[in-house]
Amino acid sequence: MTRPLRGIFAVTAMLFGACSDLASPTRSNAYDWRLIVAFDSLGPQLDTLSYHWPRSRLPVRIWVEDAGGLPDDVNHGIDEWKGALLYGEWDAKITSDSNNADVIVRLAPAPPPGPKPSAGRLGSMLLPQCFGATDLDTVATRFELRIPLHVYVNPLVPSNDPDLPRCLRVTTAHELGHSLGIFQHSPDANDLMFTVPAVDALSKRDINTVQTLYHFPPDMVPVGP
Amino acid sequence: MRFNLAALGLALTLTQPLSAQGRYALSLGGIWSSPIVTDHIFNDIDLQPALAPVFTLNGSWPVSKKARLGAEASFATGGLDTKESGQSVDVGTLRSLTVTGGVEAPLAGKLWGRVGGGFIKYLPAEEEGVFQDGGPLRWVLGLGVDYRWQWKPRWQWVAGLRYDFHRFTTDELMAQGFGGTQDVHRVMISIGIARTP
Repeated sequence: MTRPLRGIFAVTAMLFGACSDLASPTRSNAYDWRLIVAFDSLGPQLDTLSYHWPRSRLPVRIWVEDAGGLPDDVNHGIDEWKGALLYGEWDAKITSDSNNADVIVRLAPAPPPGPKPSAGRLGSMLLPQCFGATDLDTVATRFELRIPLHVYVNPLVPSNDPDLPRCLRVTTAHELGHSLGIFQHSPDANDLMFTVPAVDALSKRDINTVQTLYHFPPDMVPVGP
Repeated sequence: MRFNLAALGLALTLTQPLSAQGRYALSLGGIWSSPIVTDHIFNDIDLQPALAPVFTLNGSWPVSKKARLGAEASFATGGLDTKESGQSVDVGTLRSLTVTGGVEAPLAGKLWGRVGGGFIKYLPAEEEGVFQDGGPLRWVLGLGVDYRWQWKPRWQWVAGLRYDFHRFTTDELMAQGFGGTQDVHRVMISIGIARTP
């Protein structure tokens, strides 16, 4: 065999012989995101339900109250969560029409919980500057999620408090995480979806959780505008 | 017999302007690619460029009585699909620019072969998903055959078939814990014209 041919064969063997397929990460450290609801059709029972936005409803339309820098915080939150997903599973845009919104975000205290048994609230607090809440309504059948979802971000200190902007930004991103379908809190303080979020960005567990959620068959479908 | 490529190139350049010895081709075709990412979250997930149009420019210059040294640039633009559980969803636009250098030689009759190597640069329309840190630059190896027939003096029709191979990953995939690289195979067919010396 001539020297150039030997060289070609050696390089080919090296390139192809060393091939390895892309190895997926395990994502085994995701926390549970599913909504736990009580129902009593056959006596008191609990059900765990998963929801994610169907591709047919993307981009999710978010109406944001134009106050306290909230639109910037929502855009930051959209970028955070969109960046966690690899295959275009979720996208959102801010809309100017609250009548057609899928999610409504207000800079205000959450109203008192309503009497409806299907309604639930996921709250979070970054002590002591602000409070966040996301209200869900699974309607009567528990397999439907009433749209729009309502998100509240409420400052608890004067607007000139130097720690308030960070609190609002982190809390808004946390509440947007609920609006994506993470309907539980993480048990780990290093995650953005911990009840009292202390970190500024999504953790690896947050990313693994939302990736897992968006490939898990949903139990609920959105109903609404 | 070993030959000195640089000396031969120099000799050819001195005897005749290089541009006068060049053969230049322009072609249009379609390109198919295997998945650039394979993942598994409950189900297998493939991220795969859709069948796309491709434009190719080729130039070659003689290095011996039969062989020619060539450079080829291909630009493809098309959709990017994610496939899961039998469903395919368009998730954006993906462009790629491939530049290779290679050797061309006649195989039989009007059939010419080409072997080359170079680089592929992915140019996603949006820096999102696996491309949120930008499109990667990867090396590429390719093989090809051309069927060339005369049209007019100094002009030829060219029907081309190309295969190339590269290994894909992105900074974002590595940041998210993906290991290794994805073998990507591409096949392109094209039709074009060439101006001959």
